[in-house]
Amino acid sequence: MKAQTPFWSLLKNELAIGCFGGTGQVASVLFVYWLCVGALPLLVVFGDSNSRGNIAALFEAGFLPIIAFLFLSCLAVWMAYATVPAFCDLLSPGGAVPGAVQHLGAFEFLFTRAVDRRKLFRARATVFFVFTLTPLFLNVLVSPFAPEIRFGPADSTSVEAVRRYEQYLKAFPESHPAMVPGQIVIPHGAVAYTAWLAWSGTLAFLLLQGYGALIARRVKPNSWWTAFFPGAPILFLLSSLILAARASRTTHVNFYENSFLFFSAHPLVMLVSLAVLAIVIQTWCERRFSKLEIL
Amino acid sequence: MDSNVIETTNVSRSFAKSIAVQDLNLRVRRGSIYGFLGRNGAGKTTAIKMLVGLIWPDRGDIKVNGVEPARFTVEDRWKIGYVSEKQILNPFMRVDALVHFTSSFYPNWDFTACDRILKRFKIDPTKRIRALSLGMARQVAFMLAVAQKPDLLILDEPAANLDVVARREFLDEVLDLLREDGKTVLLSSHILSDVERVAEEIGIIAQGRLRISEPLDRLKETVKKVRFYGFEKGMNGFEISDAFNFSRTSNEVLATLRVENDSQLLKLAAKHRCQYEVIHLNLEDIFVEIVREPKEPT
Repeated sequence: MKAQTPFWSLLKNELAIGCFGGTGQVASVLFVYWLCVGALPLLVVFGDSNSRGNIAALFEAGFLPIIAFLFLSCLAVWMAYATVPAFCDLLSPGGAVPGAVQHLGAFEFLFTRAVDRRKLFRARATVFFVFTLTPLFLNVLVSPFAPEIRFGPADSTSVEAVRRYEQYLKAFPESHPAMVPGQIVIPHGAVAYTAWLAWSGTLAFLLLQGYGALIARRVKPNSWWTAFFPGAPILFLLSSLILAARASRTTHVNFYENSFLFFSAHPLVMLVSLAVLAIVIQTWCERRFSKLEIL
Repeated sequence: MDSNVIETTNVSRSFAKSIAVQDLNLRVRRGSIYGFLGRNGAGKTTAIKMLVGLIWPDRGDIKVNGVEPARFTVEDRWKIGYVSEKQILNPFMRVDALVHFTSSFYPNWDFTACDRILKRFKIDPTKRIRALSLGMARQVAFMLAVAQKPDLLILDEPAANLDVVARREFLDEVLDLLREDGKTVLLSSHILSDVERVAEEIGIIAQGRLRISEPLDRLKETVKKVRFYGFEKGMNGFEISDAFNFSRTSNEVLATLRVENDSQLLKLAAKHRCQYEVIHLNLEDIFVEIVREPKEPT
């Protein structure tokens, strides 16, 4: 029989349980954090009295690129911490921080114990997943109880607005006119919106995790390169967002809105694709991580 | 079961343009204490990291307990204890929590050994790692490696930061461990007196190459420094190709070489019409002679 590494031990270590408190204390802190962070995406929809419940206003306001940039930047740095030993060494030389955000020494210690490195990576990825994406999934859970979501562009008579109405009706065939003139009610709109956010967050998570695993072996302890490699996705994101904003002004195509509509029109295909992608990326990352060198 | 617990064949590893280890052929006998010596940057730590599977060789074969480090399973790792040169333990963890965490990976964890070592080194298990001195943290790292009951214990500079008393106790602990059948210890250290106290075999690495690897007794018995002087026909052409160290002044030659018997020196002296004097060396002298650069002629 093959020996098993106890996953729960690794997970507890990555969560720093036993360093700052017991399971209950760490879970309480996490829960408060999730409640604070988890409300942010929904506040965009339900917080502003002028646009409350109107998803068109959300996409027109341009909040999403800023939130996406902040979320992805934090995620990129966290994933670098989880996967690139040289990056940890650069940011906390000679010291150590408990949990998933650890010093190079923690990599070395665990890599030389009787620990299945693939499981170690899985535990580490689980912690980052739980930290970053739980708020988004909590939103999905509470979304059935959210007020109804409507679609009503600011200028409802323009050619552009008509095109958007058609797109929404195609994605949500059960939509019906709302009490407010010029607006339509999107059935289960809050569920679709929060599910799309969670789906996008998971996709970003997987891609950044893959990028981290890809560069982890190439990044050697050289400050400039070590800092640059994990920073590359952030620079890429920033330039993409600027280019997308410019393109959407000239072409009147809202990338985020189109993505949301496509997801809503093909939810099953998108979820299955993501699940397949998750299995492929996770397996590949675990294999690469197990061959990581600790210089 | 193989008689050698560690076997490397022509193992090399470089970093950027510098060669850290070159054609390393290391054999460590099962049940022995092997002293692995070398100057800073000689390639000891690189070699050890390859043995425990932290880095991979560019070429050559490594077998530890008959398995390549790249293919180590969890079961293979049960048999290998390791304390690294700069062992960093989680500073926020209490010693007892760290023991509990590490023990979860080993089916034969020896809690009695933990208690014994903690008592011996007077370490409070309720203290956090950051509250311990550097020396105590290393003792905890050593305890964690011993308590897993490994067949092979690899210690990279384990006595660094320990005071004399703690070093002695640490060495006693290593010797206690060896009393259990079949245990092997690979010990890398700068403190040659410690190595001399416990090691049965010695390997000396210099500039990435293993210069010598043999039982300590034989090393001390056969490696000598010889002063050749009184050359009647001059020193031209006087060379000893297999000397570990060779230097000459205007009228004498100093060579560190293996002397199996006196007739070897007598022949050499007769051939070059000179006299010689044998200087006996201790381990530290041998080490210095082997690793240092030859002196320039004056």
